[in-house]
Amino acid sequence: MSTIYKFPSEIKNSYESFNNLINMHQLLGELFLENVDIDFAKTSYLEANLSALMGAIFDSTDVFVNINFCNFQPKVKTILQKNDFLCNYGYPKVEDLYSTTIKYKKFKAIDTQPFYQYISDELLTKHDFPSMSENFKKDFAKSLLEIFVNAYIHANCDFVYTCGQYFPNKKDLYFTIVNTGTTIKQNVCEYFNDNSITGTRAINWAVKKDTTTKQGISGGLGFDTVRKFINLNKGSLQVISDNGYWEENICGKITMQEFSKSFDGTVVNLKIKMDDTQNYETVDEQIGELFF
Amino acid sequence: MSNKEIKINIYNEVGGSAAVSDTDGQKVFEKINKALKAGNSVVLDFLNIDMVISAFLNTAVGQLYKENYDVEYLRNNVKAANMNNDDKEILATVLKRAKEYYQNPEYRKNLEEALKEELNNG
Repeated sequence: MSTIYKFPSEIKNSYESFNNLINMHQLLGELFLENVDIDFAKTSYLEANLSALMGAIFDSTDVFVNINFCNFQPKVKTILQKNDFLCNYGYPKVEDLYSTTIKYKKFKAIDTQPFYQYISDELLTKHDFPSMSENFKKDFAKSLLEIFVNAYIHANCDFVYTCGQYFPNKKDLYFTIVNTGTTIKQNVCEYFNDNSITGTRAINWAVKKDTTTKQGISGGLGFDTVRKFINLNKGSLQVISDNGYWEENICGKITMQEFSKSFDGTVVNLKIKMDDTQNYETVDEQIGELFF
Repeated sequence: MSNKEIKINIYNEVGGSAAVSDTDGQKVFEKINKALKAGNSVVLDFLNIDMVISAFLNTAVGQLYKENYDVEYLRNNVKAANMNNDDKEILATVLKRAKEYYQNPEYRKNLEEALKEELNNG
Protein backbone atom coordinates (compact mmCIF):
# COMPACT_ATOMS: atom_id res chain seq x y z
CA MET A 1 0.00 0.00 0.00
CA SER A 2 1.20 3.48 -0.78
CA THR A 3 -0.22 6.88 0.18
CA ILE A 4 0.73 10.38 -0.95
CA TYR A 5 0.30 13.27 1.46
CA LYS A 6 0.54 16.68 -0.15
CA PHE A 7 2.34 18.98 2.28
CA PRO A 8 0.80 22.51 2.59
CA SER A 9 2.11 25.35 0.42
CA GLU A 10 3.46 27.20 3.42
CA ILE A 11 4.16 26.32 7.02
CA LYS A 12 4.24 29.29 9.38
CA ASN A 13 4.00 29.84 13.13
CA SER A 14 0.24 30.35 12.81
CA TYR A 15 -3.00 28.67 13.86
CA GLU A 16 -3.66 27.67 10.23
CA SER A 17 -0.32 25.89 9.85
CA PHE A 18 -0.66 24.13 13.21
CA ASN A 19 -4.12 23.04 12.08
CA ASN A 20 -2.65 21.62 8.85
CA LEU A 21 0.07 19.75 10.71
CA ILE A 22 -2.42 18.33 13.23
CA ASN A 23 -4.60 17.11 10.35
CA MET A 24 -1.53 15.40 8.89
CA HIS A 25 -0.77 13.90 12.35
CA GLN A 26 -4.27 12.39 12.53
CA LEU A 27 -4.15 11.12 8.98
CA LEU A 28 -0.77 9.44 9.42
CA GLY A 29 -1.91 8.02 12.76
CA GLU A 30 -4.62 6.03 11.01
CA LEU A 31 -2.17 4.27 8.69
CA PHE A 32 -0.67 0.83 9.19
CA LEU A 33 1.79 -1.08 7.05
CA GLU A 34 2.08 1.55 4.34
CA ASN A 35 4.59 3.59 2.40
CA VAL A 36 3.80 7.28 2.72
CA ASP A 37 5.25 9.86 0.36
CA ILE A 38 5.19 13.32 1.89
CA ASP A 39 5.03 15.46 -1.23
CA PHE A 40 6.63 18.90 -0.76
CA ALA A 41 6.06 20.03 -4.39
CA LYS A 42 3.71 22.87 -3.38
CA THR A 43 5.69 23.87 -0.28
CA SER A 44 7.56 27.07 -1.04
CA TYR A 45 7.88 28.50 2.47
CA LEU A 46 8.56 26.72 5.73
CA GLU A 47 9.41 28.27 9.10
CA ALA A 48 11.96 25.69 10.09
CA ASN A 49 11.52 25.77 13.88
CA LEU A 50 8.38 23.74 13.19
CA SER A 51 10.67 20.83 12.28
CA ALA A 52 10.26 19.96 15.98
CA LEU A 53 6.55 19.32 15.42
CA MET A 54 7.14 17.57 12.10
CA GLY A 55 9.68 15.23 13.76
CA ALA A 56 7.28 14.43 16.60
CA ILE A 57 4.48 13.70 14.11
CA PHE A 58 6.57 11.45 11.85
CA ASP A 59 7.95 9.60 14.89
CA SER A 60 4.47 8.94 16.25
CA THR A 61 3.38 6.94 13.19
CA ASP A 62 3.13 3.17 13.40
CA VAL A 63 6.42 1.30 13.22
CA PHE A 64 5.34 -0.32 9.92
CA VAL A 65 4.59 3.01 8.25
CA ASN A 66 7.50 3.98 6.03
CA ILE A 67 7.81 7.76 5.57
CA ASN A 68 9.54 9.18 2.48
CA PHE A 69 9.90 12.78 1.36
CA CYS A 70 9.70 13.84 -2.28
CA ASN A 71 9.66 16.84 -4.66
CA PHE A 72 11.36 19.33 -2.37
CA GLN A 73 11.80 22.89 -3.61
CA PRO A 74 15.53 23.65 -3.14
CA LYS A 75 15.08 26.40 -0.52
CA VAL A 76 12.93 24.19 1.70
CA LYS A 77 15.21 21.19 1.34
CA THR A 78 18.30 23.25 2.16
CA ILE A 79 16.89 24.77 5.36
CA LEU A 80 15.82 21.30 6.55
CA GLN A 81 19.32 20.01 5.84
CA LYS A 82 20.95 22.99 7.54
CA ASN A 83 19.00 22.42 10.75
CA ASP A 84 19.81 18.67 10.71
CA PHE A 85 16.15 17.63 10.37
CA LEU A 86 16.63 15.73 7.13
CA CYS A 87 19.78 13.96 8.29
CA ASN A 88 17.43 11.83 10.44
CA TYR A 89 15.86 10.62 7.18
CA GLY A 90 18.96 9.74 5.16
CA TYR A 91 19.87 13.15 3.70
CA PRO A 92 23.37 14.66 4.04
CA LYS A 93 23.93 17.67 6.31
CA VAL A 94 24.44 21.14 4.81
CA GLU A 95 26.58 23.70 6.63
CA ASP A 96 24.66 26.70 7.98
CA LEU A 97 27.07 29.47 7.00
CA TYR A 98 24.96 32.35 8.30
CA SER A 99 24.03 30.51 11.47
CA THR A 100 20.31 31.23 11.36
CA THR A 101 19.16 27.72 12.24
CA ILE A 102 18.93 26.20 15.68
CA LYS A 103 19.44 22.50 15.17
CA TYR A 104 16.56 20.02 15.29
CA LYS A 105 17.11 17.63 18.20
CA LYS A 106 15.29 14.74 19.76
CA PHE A 107 16.07 14.36 23.47
CA LYS A 108 15.13 11.72 25.98
CA ALA A 109 12.78 13.52 28.36
CA ILE A 110 15.16 12.90 31.28
CA ASP A 111 18.14 14.44 29.45
CA THR A 112 18.05 17.82 31.16
CA GLN A 113 21.84 18.33 31.24
CA PRO A 114 22.29 17.59 27.48
CA PHE A 115 19.37 19.94 26.73
CA TYR A 116 21.03 22.70 28.77
CA GLN A 117 24.28 22.06 26.89
CA TYR A 118 22.37 22.29 23.57
CA ILE A 119 20.82 25.63 24.58
CA SER A 120 24.25 26.92 25.56
CA ASP A 121 25.96 25.73 22.36
CA GLU A 122 23.19 26.25 19.81
CA LEU A 123 21.52 29.37 21.09
CA LEU A 124 23.31 31.49 23.62
CA THR A 125 26.56 31.83 21.74
CA LYS A 126 25.04 32.49 18.28
CA HIS A 127 22.31 34.44 16.45
CA ASP A 128 23.01 37.90 17.99
CA PHE A 129 22.85 36.36 21.48
CA PRO A 130 26.44 37.38 22.25
CA SER A 131 25.32 41.03 22.24
CA MET A 132 22.46 40.36 24.67
CA SER A 133 22.94 40.83 28.40
CA GLU A 134 23.86 37.86 30.57
CA ASN A 135 20.61 38.25 32.51
CA PHE A 136 18.56 38.13 29.31
CA LYS A 137 20.32 34.95 28.22
CA LYS A 138 19.84 33.36 31.62
CA ASP A 139 16.14 34.23 31.82
CA PHE A 140 15.59 32.86 28.33
CA ALA A 141 17.44 29.62 29.10
CA LYS A 142 15.47 29.30 32.34
CA SER A 143 12.19 29.57 30.42
CA LEU A 144 13.21 26.85 27.97
CA LEU A 145 14.30 24.55 30.79
CA GLU A 146 11.02 25.04 32.66
CA ILE A 147 9.14 23.92 29.52
CA PHE A 148 11.50 21.00 28.87
CA VAL A 149 11.24 19.71 32.45
CA ASN A 150 7.44 20.10 32.39
CA ALA A 151 7.31 17.57 29.56
CA TYR A 152 8.76 14.90 31.82
CA ILE A 153 6.84 15.91 34.96
CA HIS A 154 3.40 16.38 33.40
CA ALA A 155 3.37 14.66 30.00
CA ASN A 156 5.13 11.51 31.15
CA CYS A 157 6.68 11.22 27.69
CA ASP A 158 9.81 9.44 26.47
CA PHE A 159 11.10 12.08 24.07
CA VAL A 160 11.11 15.83 23.64
CA TYR A 161 11.64 17.41 20.20
CA THR A 162 13.17 20.86 19.83
CA CYS A 163 14.15 23.19 17.01
CA GLY A 164 14.53 26.91 16.39
CA GLN A 165 14.95 29.46 13.64
CA TYR A 166 16.34 32.98 13.68
CA PHE A 167 15.03 35.63 11.27
CA PRO A 168 17.81 38.28 11.34
CA ASN A 169 15.88 40.90 9.34
CA LYS A 170 12.97 40.98 11.75
CA LYS A 171 15.18 40.12 14.75
CA ASP A 172 12.69 37.38 15.64
CA LEU A 173 13.84 34.09 17.07
CA TYR A 174 11.40 31.18 17.24
CA PHE A 175 11.99 28.16 19.43
CA THR A 176 9.69 25.14 19.59
CA ILE A 177 9.49 22.37 22.20
CA VAL A 178 7.21 19.40 21.51
CA ASN A 179 6.28 16.26 23.41
CA THR A 180 3.94 13.43 22.47
CA GLY A 181 2.84 12.54 26.00
CA THR A 182 -0.25 13.15 28.11
CA THR A 183 -1.96 16.34 26.95
CA ILE A 184 -2.77 19.34 29.15
CA LYS A 185 -6.47 18.64 28.61
CA GLN A 186 -6.08 15.04 29.81
CA ASN A 187 -4.20 16.16 32.94
CA VAL A 188 -6.66 18.96 33.78
CA CYS A 189 -9.73 16.75 33.15
CA GLU A 190 -8.28 14.10 35.43
CA TYR A 191 -7.34 16.64 38.11
CA PHE A 192 -10.86 18.08 38.25
CA ASN A 193 -12.51 14.75 37.43
CA ASP A 194 -14.44 16.52 34.69
CA ASN A 195 -14.25 15.33 31.10
CA SER A 196 -16.20 18.29 29.75
CA ILE A 197 -13.22 20.66 30.05
CA THR A 198 -12.15 21.77 26.58
CA GLY A 199 -8.59 21.85 25.26
CA THR A 200 -8.40 25.65 25.27
CA ARG A 201 -9.87 26.05 28.76
CA ALA A 202 -7.39 23.47 30.06
CA ILE A 203 -4.41 25.34 28.55
CA ASN A 204 -5.71 28.70 29.74
CA TRP A 205 -5.87 27.28 33.27
CA ALA A 206 -2.49 25.56 33.12
CA VAL A 207 -0.55 28.66 32.07
CA LYS A 208 -1.71 30.68 35.10
CA LYS A 209 0.46 31.15 38.17
CA ASP A 210 0.11 28.57 40.96
CA THR A 211 -1.85 26.08 38.85
CA THR A 212 -0.48 22.56 38.76
CA THR A 213 -2.05 19.16 38.21
CA LYS A 214 0.72 17.47 40.19
CA GLN A 215 -0.83 16.16 43.40
CA GLY A 216 0.77 16.52 46.82
CA ILE A 217 3.60 18.83 45.88
CA SER A 218 3.79 22.59 45.58
CA GLY A 219 4.48 23.99 42.14
CA GLY A 220 2.81 25.97 39.39
CA LEU A 221 5.64 28.42 38.78
CA GLY A 222 7.04 27.08 35.49
CA PHE A 223 4.71 28.69 32.94
CA ASP A 224 4.65 31.86 35.04
CA THR A 225 8.43 32.16 34.62
CA VAL A 226 8.07 31.75 30.85
CA ARG A 227 5.20 34.25 30.52
CA LYS A 228 6.96 36.89 32.62
CA PHE A 229 10.00 36.64 30.36
CA ILE A 230 7.96 36.72 27.15
CA ASN A 231 5.87 39.69 28.33
CA LEU A 232 8.95 41.67 29.30
CA ASN A 233 10.61 40.85 25.98
CA LYS A 234 7.46 41.72 23.99
CA GLY A 235 7.65 38.32 22.39
CA SER A 236 4.80 35.88 22.00
CA LEU A 237 3.86 32.43 23.22
CA GLN A 238 1.75 29.71 21.56
CA VAL A 239 0.63 26.53 23.30
CA ILE A 240 -1.02 23.72 21.36
CA SER A 241 -2.23 20.66 23.23
CA ASP A 242 -4.96 18.16 22.37
CA ASN A 243 -7.54 20.18 20.40
CA GLY A 244 -6.63 23.48 22.05
CA TYR A 245 -4.76 26.50 20.66
CA TRP A 246 -3.72 29.27 23.03
CA GLU A 247 -1.67 32.33 22.12
CA GLU A 248 -0.42 35.37 24.03
CA ASN A 249 0.82 38.10 21.73
CA ILE A 250 3.18 41.05 22.18
CA CYS A 251 0.50 43.15 23.86
CA GLY A 252 -0.38 40.40 26.32
CA LYS A 253 -3.61 39.72 24.41
CA ILE A 254 -4.75 36.11 24.67
CA THR A 255 -6.35 34.29 21.73
CA MET A 256 -7.91 30.85 22.07
CA GLN A 257 -9.23 28.59 19.34
CA GLU A 258 -10.08 24.94 19.00
CA PHE A 259 -8.86 22.59 16.30
CA SER A 260 -11.28 20.17 14.70
CA LYS A 261 -8.77 17.36 15.32
CA SER A 262 -6.37 16.76 18.20
CA PHE A 263 -2.62 16.66 18.65
CA ASP A 264 -1.63 13.82 20.99
CA GLY A 265 0.88 15.88 22.89
CA THR A 266 1.87 19.47 23.56
CA VAL A 267 3.68 22.12 21.52
CA VAL A 268 5.14 25.19 23.20
CA ASN A 269 6.29 27.79 20.70
CA LEU A 270 8.12 30.96 21.75
CA LYS A 271 8.87 34.05 19.70
CA ILE A 272 11.68 36.13 21.16
CA LYS A 273 12.57 39.67 20.10
CA MET A 274 16.34 39.88 19.70
CA ASP A 275 16.44 43.69 19.45
CA ASP A 276 15.55 43.91 23.11
CA THR A 277 17.80 46.29 25.03
CA GLN A 278 16.00 46.16 28.38
CA ASN A 279 17.73 45.54 31.64
CA TYR A 280 16.95 42.06 32.94
CA GLU A 281 18.76 42.72 36.23
CA THR A 282 17.31 40.83 39.17
CA VAL A 283 15.71 43.11 41.71
CA ASP A 284 17.26 42.30 45.06
CA GLU A 285 14.24 42.00 47.33
CA GLN A 286 16.10 41.48 50.57
CA ILE A 287 16.65 37.88 49.69
CA GLY A 288 20.03 37.59 51.39
CA GLU A 289 18.57 36.37 54.68
CA LEU A 290 15.57 34.59 53.31
CA PHE A 291 16.63 30.95 53.21
CA PHE A 292 13.65 29.29 54.97
CA MET B 1 22.40 11.85 67.14
CA SER B 2 25.41 13.44 65.43
CA ASN B 3 25.78 17.16 65.10
CA LYS B 4 27.86 17.75 62.01
CA GLU B 5 27.53 20.20 59.17
CA ILE B 6 26.91 18.14 56.04
CA LYS B 7 27.79 19.77 52.74
CA ILE B 8 25.74 18.65 49.74
CA ASN B 9 27.48 19.49 46.50
CA ILE B 10 24.63 20.23 44.06
CA TYR B 11 26.90 20.04 40.98
CA ASN B 12 27.81 16.48 41.93
CA GLU B 13 24.21 15.53 42.73
CA VAL B 14 22.76 16.73 39.43
CA GLY B 15 25.75 15.73 37.28
CA GLY B 16 26.24 19.11 35.63
CA SER B 17 25.86 22.86 35.92
CA ALA B 18 22.03 22.95 35.63
CA ALA B 19 19.91 22.12 38.68
CA VAL B 20 16.63 21.73 36.84
CA SER B 21 14.96 18.33 37.05
CA ASP B 22 12.48 17.31 39.73
CA THR B 23 14.09 13.85 39.87
CA ASP B 24 17.45 15.37 40.85
CA GLY B 25 15.57 17.58 43.29
CA GLN B 26 14.05 14.49 44.90
CA LYS B 27 17.51 12.94 45.38
CA VAL B 28 18.75 16.13 47.05
CA PHE B 29 15.63 16.34 49.24
CA GLU B 30 16.18 12.78 50.49
CA LYS B 31 19.79 13.60 51.40
CA ILE B 32 18.84 16.79 53.25
CA ASN B 33 16.02 15.03 55.08
CA LYS B 34 18.24 12.12 56.11
CA ALA B 35 20.94 14.48 57.39
CA LEU B 36 18.46 16.58 59.38
CA LYS B 37 16.75 13.52 60.86
CA ALA B 38 20.16 12.36 62.12
CA GLY B 39 20.58 15.71 63.90
CA ASN B 40 22.96 17.35 61.44
CA SER B 41 22.82 20.69 59.73
CA VAL B 42 23.13 21.01 55.95
CA VAL B 43 24.85 23.37 53.56
CA LEU B 44 23.68 23.20 49.97
CA ASP B 45 26.68 24.22 47.92
CA PHE B 46 25.73 25.64 44.50
CA LEU B 47 29.35 26.14 43.40
CA ASN B 48 29.67 25.69 39.59
CA ILE B 49 25.88 25.68 39.19
CA ASP B 50 24.83 28.37 36.73
CA MET B 51 21.18 27.47 36.25
CA VAL B 52 18.48 26.72 38.83
CA ILE B 53 14.75 26.45 38.09
CA SER B 54 11.61 26.06 40.19
CA ALA B 55 11.00 22.40 39.21
CA PHE B 56 14.25 21.42 40.96
CA LEU B 57 13.73 23.60 44.02
CA ASN B 58 10.09 22.49 44.53
CA THR B 59 11.24 18.95 45.21
CA ALA B 60 14.72 19.61 46.65
CA VAL B 61 13.78 22.13 49.35
CA GLY B 62 10.06 22.99 49.01
CA GLN B 63 9.18 19.53 50.33
CA LEU B 64 11.01 20.18 53.61
CA TYR B 65 7.89 22.07 54.71
CA LYS B 66 5.95 18.84 54.29
CA GLU B 67 8.03 17.30 57.07
CA ASN B 68 7.38 18.38 60.62
CA TYR B 69 10.32 20.74 60.91
CA ASP B 70 9.94 23.98 62.73
CA VAL B 71 10.63 26.93 60.41
CA GLU B 72 13.17 28.33 62.85
CA TYR B 73 14.90 24.94 62.92
CA LEU B 74 15.14 24.91 59.12
CA ARG B 75 16.43 28.49 59.08
CA ASN B 76 19.23 27.52 61.48
CA ASN B 77 20.08 24.17 59.95
CA VAL B 78 19.73 24.47 56.19
CA LYS B 79 21.90 27.02 54.43
CA ALA B 80 22.73 27.74 50.82
CA ALA B 81 26.23 28.66 49.70
CA ASN B 82 27.53 30.05 46.41
CA MET B 83 24.06 30.78 45.06
CA ASN B 84 23.55 33.63 42.58
CA ASN B 85 21.19 36.43 43.51
CA ASP B 86 18.67 35.70 40.77
CA ASP B 87 18.61 32.03 41.79
CA LYS B 88 17.99 33.16 45.37
CA GLU B 89 14.98 35.06 44.05
CA ILE B 90 13.50 31.84 42.63
CA LEU B 91 14.35 30.06 45.86
CA ALA B 92 12.50 32.72 47.85
CA THR B 93 9.42 32.35 45.59
CA VAL B 94 9.49 28.54 45.83
CA LEU B 95 9.90 28.57 49.63
CA LYS B 96 7.13 31.11 50.15
CA ARG B 97 4.78 29.04 48.01
CA ALA B 98 5.79 25.72 49.63
CA LYS B 99 5.40 27.11 53.15
CA GLU B 100 1.86 28.23 52.40
CA TYR B 101 1.03 25.04 50.52
CA TYR B 102 2.23 22.53 53.09
CA GLN B 103 1.74 24.37 56.38
CA ASN B 104 -1.44 26.31 55.88
CA PRO B 105 -4.48 24.05 55.24
CA GLU B 106 -6.68 27.10 54.84
CA TYR B 107 -4.41 28.43 52.06
CA ARG B 108 -4.53 25.07 50.32
CA LYS B 109 -8.31 24.91 50.54
CA ASN B 110 -8.65 28.49 49.23
CA LEU B 111 -6.16 27.74 46.46
CA GLU B 112 -8.13 24.66 45.35
CA GLU B 113 -11.31 26.73 45.24
CA ALA B 114 -9.60 29.59 43.43
CA LEU B 115 -8.17 27.20 40.85
CA LYS B 116 -11.60 25.72 40.21
CA GLU B 117 -13.02 29.22 39.84
CA GLU B 118 -10.20 30.15 37.44
CA LEU B 119 -11.21 27.20 35.30
CA ASN B 120 -14.87 28.12 35.32
CA ASN B 121 -14.13 31.77 34.53
CA GLY B 122 -11.99 30.64 31.60
